[in-house]
Amino acid sequence: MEEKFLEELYQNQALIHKVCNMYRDTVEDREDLFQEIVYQLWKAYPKFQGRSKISSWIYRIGLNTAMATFRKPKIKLSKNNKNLENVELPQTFMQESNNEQLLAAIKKLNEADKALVMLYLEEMSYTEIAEIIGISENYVGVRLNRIKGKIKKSLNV
Amino acid sequence: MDLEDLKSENLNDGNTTFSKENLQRMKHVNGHPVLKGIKTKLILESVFWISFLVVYYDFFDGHLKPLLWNVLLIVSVGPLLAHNVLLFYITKNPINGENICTSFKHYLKRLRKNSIISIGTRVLAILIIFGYFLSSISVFESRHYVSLFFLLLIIVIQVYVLHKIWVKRISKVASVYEQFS
Repeated sequence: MEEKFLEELYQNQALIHKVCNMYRDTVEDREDLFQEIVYQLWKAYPKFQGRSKISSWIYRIGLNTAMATFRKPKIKLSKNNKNLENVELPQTFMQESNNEQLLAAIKKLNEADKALVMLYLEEMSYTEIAEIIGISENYVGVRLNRIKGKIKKSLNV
Repeated sequence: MDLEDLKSENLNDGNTTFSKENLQRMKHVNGHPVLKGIKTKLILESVFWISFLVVYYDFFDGHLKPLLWNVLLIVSVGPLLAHNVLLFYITKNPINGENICTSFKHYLKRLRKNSIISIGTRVLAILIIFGYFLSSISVFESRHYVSLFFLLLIIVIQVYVLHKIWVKRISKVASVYEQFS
């Protein structure tokens, strides 16, 4: 079981990085959250029976772990900080300036909205999103429309 | 600029950075940064209180106190450590349901229950410790009343601080839960 778990985790770890990048601002906090998620995934693995897609399961556990914390975030350091320059980060969400603005707007959303957007960006169906979050499919649609409005407003489009 | 534009970008994101060996290490309690911290604190506090129990009988005249208070003092170490034990248990188990909303609902319920246990056990432990020291006093003088006043003050401060800590935690989780509804 352990081997299978590690293999699946290894193949899908990019999903965990995405959650960490979305919910934490500093390298240290992201690494800590990554470890917390891996620990929770391992704990939950015996109950994972493959009824849902592995990506859905990882997102459910990952998002839950990221939001259910009450740790104080570490102070965000300047981008010019030398310590950060030497750290190898997963290159997520940092490609183009337009996308950076869009991502900055997403990061300003509340925790729940961020979770919905993440799942939407993963091209999950409303049914899948509804199952992960625990709300109705219709409400997923309503919420996503509201979120799009919030983002447009934030970007002054 | 639309969310749709980000879909294809997002799907290509996320480089593989951790080896299987690293992932293997992360799945243990010692790989969990918060649990590791609580565990260390719990061990240090346990060592402190066990050391206290080893020396208290000689240092604080255990032979002059009633047997009941000696037993209660030993037992009170459990409640004193309860706060960190509960914190460890809560941090270890944040997933409590088949979906995120259910999980948060159960998590919130557990946090509220544990906050009462945490505060209650701390007050109980302080009362026992002070009860032990006051147990051999047969005639209360004014200085004893002053001690009692400080005892009450300590209890009130402890309850206040612990209450603030738990309220902050519960509010954080409750706020996320409300965002989903």
